[in-house]
Amino acid sequence: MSEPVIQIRGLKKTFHPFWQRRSVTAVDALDLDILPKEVFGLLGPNGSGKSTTIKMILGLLFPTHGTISVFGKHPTNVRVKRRIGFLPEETDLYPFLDARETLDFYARLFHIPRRERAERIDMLLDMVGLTSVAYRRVGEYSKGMQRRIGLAQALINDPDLLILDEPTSGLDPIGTRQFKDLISTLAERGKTVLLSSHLLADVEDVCDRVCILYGGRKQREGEVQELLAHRERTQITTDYLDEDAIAAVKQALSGVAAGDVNVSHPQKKLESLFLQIVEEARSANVTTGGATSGGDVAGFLRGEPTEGTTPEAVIDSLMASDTPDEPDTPEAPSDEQIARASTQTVVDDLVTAAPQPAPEQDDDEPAAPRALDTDLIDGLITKKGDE
Amino acid sequence: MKNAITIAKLTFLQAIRMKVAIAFITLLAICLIAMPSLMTGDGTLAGQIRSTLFYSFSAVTMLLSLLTLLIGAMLVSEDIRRRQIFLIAVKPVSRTDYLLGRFLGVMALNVVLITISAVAIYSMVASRRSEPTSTADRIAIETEVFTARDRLSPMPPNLDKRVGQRVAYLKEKGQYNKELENYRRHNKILGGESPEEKFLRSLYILERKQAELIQPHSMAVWNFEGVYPAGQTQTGTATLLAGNDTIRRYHFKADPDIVGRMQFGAPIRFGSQIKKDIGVKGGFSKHIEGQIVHIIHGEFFIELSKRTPLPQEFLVLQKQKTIQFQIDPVMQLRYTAKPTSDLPAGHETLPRILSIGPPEQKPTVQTPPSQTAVHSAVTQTFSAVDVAKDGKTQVVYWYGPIPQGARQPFPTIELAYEDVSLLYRADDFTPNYIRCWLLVLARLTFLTALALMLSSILDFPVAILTSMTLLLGSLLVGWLLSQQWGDPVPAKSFIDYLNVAIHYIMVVLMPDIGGVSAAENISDGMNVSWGVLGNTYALTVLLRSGLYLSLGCWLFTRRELADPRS
Repeated sequence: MSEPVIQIRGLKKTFHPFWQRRSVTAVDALDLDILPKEVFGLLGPNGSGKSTTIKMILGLLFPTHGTISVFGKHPTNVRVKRRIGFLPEETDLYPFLDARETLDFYARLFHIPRRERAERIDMLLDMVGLTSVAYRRVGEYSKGMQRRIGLAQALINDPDLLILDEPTSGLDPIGTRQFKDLISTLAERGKTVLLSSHLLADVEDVCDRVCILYGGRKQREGEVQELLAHRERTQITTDYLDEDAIAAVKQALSGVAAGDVNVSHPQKKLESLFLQIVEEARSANVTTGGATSGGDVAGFLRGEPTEGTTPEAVIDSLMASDTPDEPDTPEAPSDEQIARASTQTVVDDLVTAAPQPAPEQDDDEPAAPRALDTDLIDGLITKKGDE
Repeated sequence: MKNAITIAKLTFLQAIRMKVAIAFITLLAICLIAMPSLMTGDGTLAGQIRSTLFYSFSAVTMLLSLLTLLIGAMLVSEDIRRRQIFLIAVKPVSRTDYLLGRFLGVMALNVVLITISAVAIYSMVASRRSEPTSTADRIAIETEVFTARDRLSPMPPNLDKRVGQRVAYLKEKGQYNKELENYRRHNKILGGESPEEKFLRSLYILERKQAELIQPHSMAVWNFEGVYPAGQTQTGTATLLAGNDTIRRYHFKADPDIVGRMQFGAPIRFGSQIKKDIGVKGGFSKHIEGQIVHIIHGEFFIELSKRTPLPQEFLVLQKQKTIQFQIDPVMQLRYTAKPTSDLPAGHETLPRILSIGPPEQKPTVQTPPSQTAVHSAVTQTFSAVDVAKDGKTQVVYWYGPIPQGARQPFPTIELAYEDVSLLYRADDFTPNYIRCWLLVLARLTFLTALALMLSSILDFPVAILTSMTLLLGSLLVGWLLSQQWGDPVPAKSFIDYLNVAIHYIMVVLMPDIGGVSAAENISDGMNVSWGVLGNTYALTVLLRSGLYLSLGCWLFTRRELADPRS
């Protein structure tokens, strides 16, 4: 087994507020190993210690107890930081710089040569869809546009370890989708990604392994598919069936399956539908003053030599990931489950700033998935927005 | 270091984009435009230029000090509060580099703003310098404003003999112990010092006061050491263009190179032949002395004293005839005479004769009997050739002659040593002007380091409050040191220890900003020597600013940059 990229042992963080206020333990007794080339998710409701853990990994906070090593070194080691890209929960940029100057400033801190710097900035601006507004000061940007710049700066050094704190907060569904594609691309290139989120869909779609935190303590750690497997239910997907055929299937299954038998059409994710609508609008040449849907993943991040990306390629990449994820293992979550989680995410992104972290219960879904503890789910729901 | 420069550039850009520079330049422009109408000084052009220099220097220093503290106190604390620090701290930048970058950025801003101010103020006073004005005003402008003079105080008199005599007298009369006991009872004597030493010291102070009191018909002798006036005695030939024997004003033309180096108000000697062995005294076998009153385009005007009779050979000088001349560097004696009682009725001034020359020798120059104003500083100009080669010179002030048959007695006058100084040109105005701005820059360096240090550990409001308090403290430190903590003594009680500790903390940590004031020096035509400047940079920039900056870095690398809220 290879050396972990991040190794955490017995981590504890207690905040001691000034002047007689109660101290708060944000993280307690945490052990974690994040291995090379894996996409690791830190999952938990607001205030569960995700951000605190990430800040300790980055050396912004110091542990009260325990040790952290990143690439085998102390988190405050300057050399280690050359290999890290970080997107914080809130994108706090210098409002007096424009997008290009912002990226140039951060690139200079990595001592990237002038020419390469310019190339990377162009590619990243194209990737996050801000080329047309690159000379506007970031103080004038919307939250989502600032988020995109935040993502671009995190990638400027082509990091070996990418740490993303609530990466999809403030992003529109296109950005969210694109961001997921980016993570997949980076994962394919063997980069290590650590992301924290309270949005189950984010984690579920991209992570290899997750750790679920609650009250600063690790509740569960393991592979996503394993954790989300819905072992007591089975889904059968076929080509289109008419009413009679469905009735026949129900009839046939009633003999072998106990309990309710429900047959329906697979649903598209709302995310996919939204993308389709935007794509149609784009095809009809509807202009926008804000962020565009963004280009392809920057060449240097794919590990390719520099070359131009065509709009067609961008559209293709978006359309290619437009279909619902196909279950590829017997333990994979059902399409309906995926659709539900994704729908919830997109609705939350569009409607409210405080997303529901867990899928809603309804008549068709009699019990919560077995792999997730009921009280944990309760925690995820009731603890929302308590920061 | 590369990262520090990147962050310095960011800081500079930040200040520019925050329109700090524009606001500053606007305020500066308003100050400079309003200055001539507001600052009339004593009504003369010299006074106006002096006021303009003083107030514009003060205003710029004040504005930049406040600006530096505000920006310095804001930069780091706001980066932390707004979490912009996250994106920098996770990059391969050491926190020392970050803080150093911030420091360099603020200093770059200060250098730019100081340069703009310096050029603006210089152009303004330079344009006023050539405005037409009276001869006296012109001389004042050139010899008191557009110059860089060194100031020397007289050597303190050797009072050992006088104190010894007094002690012997007291002992002889058997009053010594009584006086000592009396002194001990009425004065607080802190631990460590023997009451006798302190009593003796008080006798010295008493004797010094006595030495500063001059009775009519007696004299004060002031010895100066280390007098090295700039400029050399220049000789040349001049052609008389025009002259008026009645008003004794003559218009000459001479080698433009020599005229270019002439000084207003400088004594000029004319004669027929120059002695071979001129030594420091220099001069002619027969000569006449005048004063340069105007210099323009290779020509100059002189005025001859009305008291000196014109020698024959000068009277026969005709137009277009050449004459040899010698110009000496100038030296000014400044003193303030304070009568201890009222002046006799009908008198507003007091008689005096001044003589100057190498010590222990016959004075080389003696002024004719004249009257001196009282209670205000009086300046008398001498030729600087009267200084001995070893830099020693002696001035004798004779309080007299008292007019015969004065109905009321003339009062005793006090000529305090601190009120007497010898001023001489040590450098030109322009290099001194630059040095004065460098002095301001040293102060700003200190304030930047202080503000950044505080900003790296405190929130903005607390940091700015603390740094403002310390700024006030540092403005007062000179005064405070001279008052309460002027005389640190070995400690005895806890309060004494605290007293001594505060004294040393203040001496080490606070720059004595009130000590050498750029505004006062430049407006008074006083030289800020490279030595003084070097000393200030060593103590204020290298030692104190370095200390604050290092402390800031040390604290900053040990603090957490996030909190539970962020």
